[in-house]
Amino acid sequence: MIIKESNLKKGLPKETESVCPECGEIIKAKIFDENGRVMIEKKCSEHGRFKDVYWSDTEMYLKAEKFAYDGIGVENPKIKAKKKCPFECGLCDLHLSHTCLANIDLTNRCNLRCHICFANAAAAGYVYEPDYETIVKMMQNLRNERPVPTPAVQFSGGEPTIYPRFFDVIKKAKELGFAQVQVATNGLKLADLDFCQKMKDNGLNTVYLQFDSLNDEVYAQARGRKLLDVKMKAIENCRNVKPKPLSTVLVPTIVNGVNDDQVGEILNFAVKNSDVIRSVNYQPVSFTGRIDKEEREKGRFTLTDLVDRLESQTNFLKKEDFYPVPVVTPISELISILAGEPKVAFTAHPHCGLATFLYIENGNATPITRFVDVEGMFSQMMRMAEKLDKAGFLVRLLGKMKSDFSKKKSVQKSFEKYFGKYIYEDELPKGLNISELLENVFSEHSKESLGEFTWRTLMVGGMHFQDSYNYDIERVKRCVIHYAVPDGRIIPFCAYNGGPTYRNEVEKKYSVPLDEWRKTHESG
Amino acid sequence: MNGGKRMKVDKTKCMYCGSCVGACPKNAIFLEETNIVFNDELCIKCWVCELVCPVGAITME
Repeated sequence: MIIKESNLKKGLPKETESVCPECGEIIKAKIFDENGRVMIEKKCSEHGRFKDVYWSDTEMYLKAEKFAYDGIGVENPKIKAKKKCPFECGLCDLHLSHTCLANIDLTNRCNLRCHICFANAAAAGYVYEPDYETIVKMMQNLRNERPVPTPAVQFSGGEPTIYPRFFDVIKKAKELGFAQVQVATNGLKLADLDFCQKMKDNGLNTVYLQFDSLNDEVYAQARGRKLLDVKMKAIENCRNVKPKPLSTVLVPTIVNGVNDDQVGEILNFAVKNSDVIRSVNYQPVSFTGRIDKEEREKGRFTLTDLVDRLESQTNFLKKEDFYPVPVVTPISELISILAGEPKVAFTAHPHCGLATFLYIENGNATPITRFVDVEGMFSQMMRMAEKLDKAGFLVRLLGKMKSDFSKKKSVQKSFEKYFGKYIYEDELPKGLNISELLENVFSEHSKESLGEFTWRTLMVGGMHFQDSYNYDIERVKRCVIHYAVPDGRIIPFCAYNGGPTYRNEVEKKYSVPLDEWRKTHESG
Repeated sequence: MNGGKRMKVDKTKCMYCGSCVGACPKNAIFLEETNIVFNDELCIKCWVCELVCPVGAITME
């Protein structure tokens, strides 16, 4: 089994560990209900009390806990016999999830200067830009992770598209066997069709496009210049790439009071363009750096605020449609057992992300939760996986004996037999044959079919990266999105950018001061 | 045009990000590995490059 029952404490109030926003010390924190909202409060002996909203909806918080599963960690952790999370990250033997998606920062240089960003090279005073050979080593390191080699890598920065050997890196990632190769970009370079085509030709699968708004004033304020025309051009170019569009994910960073009134409009835009946009991945703002209390309270936006705005700003979503990330792990378990080898399992903490799938037909969006009993189906899958696991090698033997032809038929039949009762036939959209669609997901254990599945559907969700005010170490332990760094370590996102903030130490060690870096650019 | 003025890059500020290259309506700016080059004949002095430069490295002189 690659997943197990979660050992998270359930219910409220509960205790956890967090960090002091002033000194970074690990301190005890309490999570509790306050007038229907979930709060986190902690006290540092030196710097006093800190309180913030964890999730703005207690009911949803408690519901999410029902779908928690833990992973079994990695077989070959770099750090062994670790005593305390989140110190000595690497990954370590305390970490519960394997790397589902790895981030690699190619450079901290950027072609925008956003007022809200202190990370870019010009502001930081140094250039962090590992050379090509180092990047390759970092990728190999990810592919060596066991039992599940990291299946997806996302290049970020800075602005990764200005990395000198950007296309070589994409090509190498594909060669090393990453099923998903992605880039997180502001889209400036993508306003050039040739650039997009070259990304596709070298094997890029998905563009994560920073997309904060459909109102240009938001860009002018947050990003320093108007960018809507650039974003539109980038999307158009991704659509026109041959032979098939370059899958695009919109990534809006949402700040309460700044662009939370835009979430519905952005989703409607994505639905209209679902031939090229396959997902909207909202990111509630994380407050890194110093910020005063008033400003933080005003801007704080949690995942349940996101769901609330989506419900009020679209005419097709309700909060019941949303599930936490680990709800899908029974699929991984079942597929792993059928395939006879461990597959990627999204065993994130239940309060890290919320999502749902929309089925789109003629521009109309219907959440699939309206015609699939998600809870019933996934728990049936889990029961089935447990049963098959006991039957052991016989299952795998049978699986291997079947020809591909009969496999396809039999999978469809078994799907109807075992899962048909979880489909609300009366609610099914007319054009949709759900067993055909899902059968595609299960029959071939490849990304190809998953790609097709998401192509006809649009994923909408959010992932809330932690800052030192809402930091919960239980989330770090289960993190599924990690950074690969030059010295071979693999570090959970919220430990790299928050809490102990390994980014500072890593960039310091592997960067060169601006002056020194410029000397290599003086020959002209 | 403009009394022989031309766009100039301050190399103590430039980060070689190529922002100006993509923004130039006349494709008059080129990013070489260690240099930024303006083609003064193509340049129409529209100042877009100065506007988009994230580090304020471009000025007209």
